[in-house]
Amino acid sequence: MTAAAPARDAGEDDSLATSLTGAPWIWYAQPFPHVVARNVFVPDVQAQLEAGFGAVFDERVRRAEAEASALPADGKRAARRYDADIVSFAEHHRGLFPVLLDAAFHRMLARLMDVRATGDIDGGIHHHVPGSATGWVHNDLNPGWFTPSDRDVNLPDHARGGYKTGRALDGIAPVMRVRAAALIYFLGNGSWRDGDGGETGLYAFEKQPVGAPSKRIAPIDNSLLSFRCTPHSYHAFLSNVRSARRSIILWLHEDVSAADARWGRGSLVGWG
Amino acid sequence: MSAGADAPVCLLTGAGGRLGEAILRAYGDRIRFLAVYRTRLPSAASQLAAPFDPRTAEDARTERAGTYAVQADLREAGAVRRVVELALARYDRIDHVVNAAADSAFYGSTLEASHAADELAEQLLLNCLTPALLASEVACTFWRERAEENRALRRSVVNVSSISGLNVYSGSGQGGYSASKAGLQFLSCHMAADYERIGVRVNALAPDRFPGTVPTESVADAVGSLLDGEATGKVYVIDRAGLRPLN
Repeated sequence: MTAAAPARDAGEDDSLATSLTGAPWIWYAQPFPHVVARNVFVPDVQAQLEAGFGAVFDERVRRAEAEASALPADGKRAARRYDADIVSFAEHHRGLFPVLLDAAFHRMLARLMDVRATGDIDGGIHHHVPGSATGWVHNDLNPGWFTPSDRDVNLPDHARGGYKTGRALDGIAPVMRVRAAALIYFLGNGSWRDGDGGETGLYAFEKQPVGAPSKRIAPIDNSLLSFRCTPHSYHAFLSNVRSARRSIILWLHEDVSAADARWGRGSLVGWG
Repeated sequence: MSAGADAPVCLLTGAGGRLGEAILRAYGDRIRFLAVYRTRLPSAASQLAAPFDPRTAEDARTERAGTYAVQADLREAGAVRRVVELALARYDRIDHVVNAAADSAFYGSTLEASHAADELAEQLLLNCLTPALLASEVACTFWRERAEENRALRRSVVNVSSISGLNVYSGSGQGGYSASKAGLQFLSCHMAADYERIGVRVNALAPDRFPGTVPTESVADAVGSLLDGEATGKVYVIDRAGLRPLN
């Protein structure tokens, strides 16, 4: 197996408690169940996360410039459908993103989303330059492959196996998981105003026009959007008109059998 | 904390507005609200939205709130009947109606009213007639055969008017709004006379500007005092000098 469900360490939750501001989070039922929270982390943690984002993004830019043409293997500009610069989290990023990559945070998120998380986490930083194209309506109910680890929080090992393909080096047996809950944490976006764009649109049905969502979640600094990944958790990135849009994205995973039991076989959306 | 299962039930319109939010905050622990909103979902805990503490909640929806939020544009055909049916289906009773929904736009000088005919008609419908239609729907479907019970429980209607319905502010372009609120005040007095035989009290509240001149919480408190009181057929003003009846 890959990582077990995150174990509880003495004092770990106390650390989480002091990282959160205590501001209420709000659950909403429509257009599908989701949680929105503002003023999430205390200033020190918020600053650490912004610094971590900056360090990873700067590293990506340097490597891209050095390689002149190709972007790093663990990050790419997905210009085809999702118009963003992405750097996926890897082992060496752990220290840059305190709280978000800690087991206590994932345990809390799994509890709030009511998912039986395996401890396998995918995620990364997403940077949309101004004018990035609007995305497409999708649900995030996708598979992901992880290589074995003893860590409470197991990140994909991009050097040894493909998260989206399951292809791995000889001797590695990746395990297929399913995205169970998504979290988008917004940071470094300055004073966002109506009309700036860059929101996450939420939709009631798959064929709803992407430009006319049922609800728009603004990318306000130190706020988050989280939802359980279901066949109906339809969402999309909406074009940012005036300024860059920065976010950190995390996905908790669960066993394929749990997803199959809940949603039925065939509900998973492959990587097209 | 939510109101208990025996708490009175209030059908509140304009629940997503500033005053509606304040009423839900002030009385959500002792009144069960059917909170009608048109565009903005009230932030109070409801079946559609619930604040929680992420550090302690068992899941994101641990507590089931007493407020039931319903989206409706009461100007649309059938909407008034639908919200009353929903309230009765949900709670089996309605004890109070608070009409706080309003179109507060100023559509300009009456000299040019012909250019805003549709807007003015819609405003008059929402601000003046809809409160009477909503209360009438409750009366005809629930209150009419319960006069003794209504008196015992001091059931009532509070129509939220405006000080604009009492004064002429020249040059402000609020003739349509002012007329709709003045009409609501007179209509409230007629309703009080008509509803007396079924034991339901009807009053109007004409606040000064809130929160600019009067704190919104004070206006919410005034609504609460009218729900709790004995008065009927009164138009109350609340301004810097406090709450007082005009008639």
